[in-house]
Amino acid sequence: MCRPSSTLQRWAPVRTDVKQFLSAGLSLLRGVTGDDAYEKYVAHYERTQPEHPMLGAAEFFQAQLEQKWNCVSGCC
Amino acid sequence: MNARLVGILLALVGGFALAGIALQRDEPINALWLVTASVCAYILGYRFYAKWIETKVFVADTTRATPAERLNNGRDYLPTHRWVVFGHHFAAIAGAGPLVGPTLAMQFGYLPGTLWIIVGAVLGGCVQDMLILFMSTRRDGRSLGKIARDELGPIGGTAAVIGTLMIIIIIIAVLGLVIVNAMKHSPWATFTVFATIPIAMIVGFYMRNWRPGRVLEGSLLGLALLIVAVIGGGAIDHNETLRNLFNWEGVPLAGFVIAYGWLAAILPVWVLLAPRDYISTFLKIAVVVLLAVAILIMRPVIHMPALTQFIDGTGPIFAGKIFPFVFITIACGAMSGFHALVSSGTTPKMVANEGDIRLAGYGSMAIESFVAIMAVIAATLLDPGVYFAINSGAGVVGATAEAAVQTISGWGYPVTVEQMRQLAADVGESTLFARTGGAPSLAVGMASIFGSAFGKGLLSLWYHFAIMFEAIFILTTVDAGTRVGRFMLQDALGQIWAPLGRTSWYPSVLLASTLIVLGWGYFLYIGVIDPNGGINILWPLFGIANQMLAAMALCVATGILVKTKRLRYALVTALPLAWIVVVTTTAAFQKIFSTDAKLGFFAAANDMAAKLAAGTLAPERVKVAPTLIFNQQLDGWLTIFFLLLLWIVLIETARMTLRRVRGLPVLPSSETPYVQTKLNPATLGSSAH
Repeated sequence: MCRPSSTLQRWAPVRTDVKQFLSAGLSLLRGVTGDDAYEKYVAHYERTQPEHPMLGAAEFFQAQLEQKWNCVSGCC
Repeated sequence: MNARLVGILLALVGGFALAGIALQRDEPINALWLVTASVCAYILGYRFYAKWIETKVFVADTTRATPAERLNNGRDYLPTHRWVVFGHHFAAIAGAGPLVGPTLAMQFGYLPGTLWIIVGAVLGGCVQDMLILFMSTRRDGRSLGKIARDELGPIGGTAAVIGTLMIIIIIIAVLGLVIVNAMKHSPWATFTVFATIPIAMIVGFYMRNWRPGRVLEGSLLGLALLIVAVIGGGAIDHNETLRNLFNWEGVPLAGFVIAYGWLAAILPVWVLLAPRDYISTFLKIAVVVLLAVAILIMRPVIHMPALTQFIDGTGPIFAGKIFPFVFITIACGAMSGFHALVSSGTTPKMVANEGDIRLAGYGSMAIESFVAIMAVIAATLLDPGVYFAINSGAGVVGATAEAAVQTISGWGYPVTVEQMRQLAADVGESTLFARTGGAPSLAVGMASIFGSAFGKGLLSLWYHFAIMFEAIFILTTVDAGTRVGRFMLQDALGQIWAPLGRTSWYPSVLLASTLIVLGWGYFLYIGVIDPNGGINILWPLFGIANQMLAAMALCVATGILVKTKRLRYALVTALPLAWIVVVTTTAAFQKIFSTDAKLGFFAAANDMAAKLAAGTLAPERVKVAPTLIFNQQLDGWLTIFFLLLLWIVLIETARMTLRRVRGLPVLPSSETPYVQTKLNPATLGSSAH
């Protein structure tokens, strides 16, 4: 008879590796596209000046755009 | 020891592949040779040459705090994981340039372009990007223009700023022309490109109002809608009434691109510009990976010969001999001045540690160069006859299909009307003759690769997906470039009358945006009415401008190396600089002084004026002749201007170098003082640090 639990166990390290690989890929993609920019901003603020009020997600996004498009940021 | 062994192995494999490419003349070769040779060269360049430059030439100091750490504001200055910086930098430098240039340059055969892409990138382009990124990182992330002013003085600085503004105008015009030519009389392509605008607006709304800052979700939504638009375009193409609605001539399409550029520049960025850029970044990464995988699956055979007879300067796509024009035509992908703007723009503010600069600067450019190699493969897997039929203007090969086929077959590249008709039908276009600009032939090539790898029945969908992909890039350049140009112009106008320099004062916004749009809009319009397709005039002009900017960036880099007592290593930048100066100057001289009407701007103006006076021009050409004559002269003067700018910066650099060598005082180095880093690289995650 097959023993599912042991098969699962045998593949567990591989599953963990695949999981880690995928999550690293996702976090890379989020970083490159700027998806995690607000999280980074919140982390920075909480660490450096927790007493000050922070921008909300929408305000932050808006401010981020204004700033990004004030300089050369694209290419040929 | 292990690294050295791997290096020797890579060198052997790469060298073998290169020799294979260069020597296998009589039979078609497989594209995998190109892939192997280039990838080995990039890895060797990255592991050894770039490493040597990092440790000996600019001496990266991993204990030194970068601007991202010192000026960390949680927003643009932010220490970022090295692979994220790499991805960001690649997405910012890659656009339509490395796709279009190599496609056009294949008129010389696959060998010259391929060699230049590999050698130019490994020894020139990657080095330039990496050094400028390093130098900007050492200077609080300041821009190239500002660094040039600080290091070379006001003359060099002003020349760099004017050069940047000019290149932006030319690149928007030429890419605008590429996309207009791809849409001309193609309802499917026109609908798809039009649809990108409301899609960008929906995504913009999604990211701003519905799910603020959820960029990945928004981009995925945009991508899904774009695929729906590509499929919907096919349905429209099959409906007679709807078809006619999107069947446009070149001039109104140019008007559309101009109106779009103007609107995108004056509207708030969240409406069009930002969402399009987000979708573009996402699409860029996805398609590059997909294309690489598809090439590995398909392993296409290259049908273009290694060299064609057009190396003598008689080519139908653009005039001029292999030297210097292959080096002008392929700018992005081998060496591009535009990259220096990104390397001194957003990227230096993200670098967490100087040890990451090699990956972001050298590595990203190596990938961009590989994108150019993939464009080479897409262009050369077509039958050469088909390639020339798509890319040659009607004014060169003849206006009718029969005439074009006869001319091209006469060159030794057989092609038939039936073959072209069938191909056009397969990709869902009414014709593929004289579809100049590079985008259609690239799309046919990409569609063949995707089609063979993932299913042949979808050729027309893949073709229009490829056109949409190029359009997304190009319209991103159009709107972002117009906006950047607007800021630079406002900055300059502010020197004359202060209120005009206020970037948010609406009259100033309108004035500067309109001036920039008129600037590139003019060149775009002229390109569209040009009977030879326009790209043959504009692309060399863009190449000269871009390489001029590369030379300026290398001047700045060389100047800094000399100034910071690294004179003996200055050859690292001085050699590519010397090469690019020789190439640019030769090309500019030929465009200015050549008496061949196909090559020289003034010669072409005189030739047309003589024909106009003699009354030998066709009636439809008489009407546009005065405009074209004026334009050729203007292009000639612009080339002279670019040449002057380049030599001014070069002489300023040489003057500074000589003073330094003689021990005379020079401007002090603008490098920011050393501060020790407090960052622990191990804790630098991608979401927080």
